[in-house]
Amino acid sequence: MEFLVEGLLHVTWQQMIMYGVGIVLIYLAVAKEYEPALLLPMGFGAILVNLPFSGVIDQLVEGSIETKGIIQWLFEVGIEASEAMPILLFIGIGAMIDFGPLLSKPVMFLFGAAAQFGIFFAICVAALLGFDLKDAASIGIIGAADGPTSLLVSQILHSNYVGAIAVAAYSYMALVPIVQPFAIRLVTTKKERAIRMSYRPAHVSRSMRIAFPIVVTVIVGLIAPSSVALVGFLMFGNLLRECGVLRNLSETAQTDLANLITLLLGLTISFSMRAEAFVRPETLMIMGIGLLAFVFDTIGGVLFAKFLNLFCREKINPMVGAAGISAFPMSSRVVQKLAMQENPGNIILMHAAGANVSGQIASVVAGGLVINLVSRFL
Amino acid sequence: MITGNFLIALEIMWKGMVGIFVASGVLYLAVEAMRRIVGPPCEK
Repeated sequence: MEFLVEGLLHVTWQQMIMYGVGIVLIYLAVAKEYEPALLLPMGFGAILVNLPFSGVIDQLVEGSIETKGIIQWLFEVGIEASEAMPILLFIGIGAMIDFGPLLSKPVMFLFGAAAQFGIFFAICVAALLGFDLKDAASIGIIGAADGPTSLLVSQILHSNYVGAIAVAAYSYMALVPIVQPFAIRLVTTKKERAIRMSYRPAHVSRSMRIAFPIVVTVIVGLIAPSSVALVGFLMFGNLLRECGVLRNLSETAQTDLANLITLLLGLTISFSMRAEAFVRPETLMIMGIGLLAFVFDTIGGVLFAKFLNLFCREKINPMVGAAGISAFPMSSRVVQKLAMQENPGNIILMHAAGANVSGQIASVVAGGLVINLVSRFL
Repeated sequence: MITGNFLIALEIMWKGMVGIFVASGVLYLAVEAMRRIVGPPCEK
C-alpha cells in the first residue's frame, strides 16, 4: 500500500513553501482583488506544479513510461516557442486602449519615456548585485509594468528567473495604488501636487485615429525591431477598434480573446514556479529589485515633469509624470485620486491618461531596446 | 561591487533612455504631422 503515500513522502520543504506562495497569491486575488485574473490562476498553478510527480508536467512514470504534462506543454508551445500567449494578449489590450487623450496632447509621449527610467536603474542595481547581464536585463524589465513585455524579454534573453519575474511583474502592477503614492510623495511638495492644469485638447479626427497605429508600428519597428511583435499586435488591436468596420472583431478581442488568454496565461506561467526554480535566495532579491524599478519609474516621470516646469509658463502637475508607467488605467486613476486629495476639484485625469497610454507604447519600446542592446554583449 | 557587467548596464541605461526619448520625440512629431495632413480642414 506504499504507493498510496508515495506522493506525500516525496513532498519537499521547498514545495511546501510554494504551496504557501500559491495560497498567498489566491488570497491576494480573492480577498484583496489584486489582479485576480492572473494571480488566481498563477496561485493555483503553483500548487499544481509542485505536487510530487505532478501529472501537469512531464514525468517518467515508474522509470520508463514518459507522460506529457498539460501545463508544461502550454508553456513550451505558448511561451517558449514564440511567446504566442503574451503577444496575442496584446491584441486584446490594444483593442481596449483609447489613444485619444495622447493624440490630443502628444507631448505626453515624453512622460511615457521618462517613466521607463526605473527599468534601466533596476538593470544597474541587478548587475551591481551580481546577476549576469541577461538576468539583470530581465529583472529590470519588471519596471516596464507590463506582464507580456516582461515575459517576452525574459524568455528571449533565456533568463533563469522567468517565474519570479512574472510573479513580480504582475504583483507589482496590482500594487500600483500603494507603491506610486509613496514614491510621488518622496519627490514632490504639497504645493507641487496641488498644481491645477487646464485641459484644452486638440481635435482628434477619425483619420488620425486610424493612421496612428500604423505610423507607430512603422516608427517603433524601425527604432527597436525586437519590439515589432509586441507593438505590432498592440497596434493591430487598436486598429481593429478604431477602423469602425470590425466592431465584432474588436469586441471579441477585448472580451473573449483577452479573457481566454489571460485564463491560460496564469496557469502557463506557473510552470516556471516549480520549487527548484523558484525557491532560491535570488527570488527575494528579484522581488526587491522589481519594487525599486517601479519606485524609480515613478520618480523618473515626476522629476522629468519638474524639469519641464523650469521652462513652462503653464506649470505641469508633476504627478502626471508618474502616470507615464505602463500600468493602464490604474496609474492615471491613482494620480487623479492623489490630485483630488491635495486640491479638491483638481481634475488632471485626462492629462494622466495621455501619459499612461504613452507609457504603454514606451514600455514596449524599452523592451525592444533592452533586447537589442543586451544581445550585443552576450 | 563594480564589475564589467555594471559598467555595461550603465551603458545600456544611457543608450536605452536616449533611444526611448528619441522614439517618443519622433512619435510626437509624427502625430503633429498627422494632425496637419489628416486633421480637420481649416474653416474658410
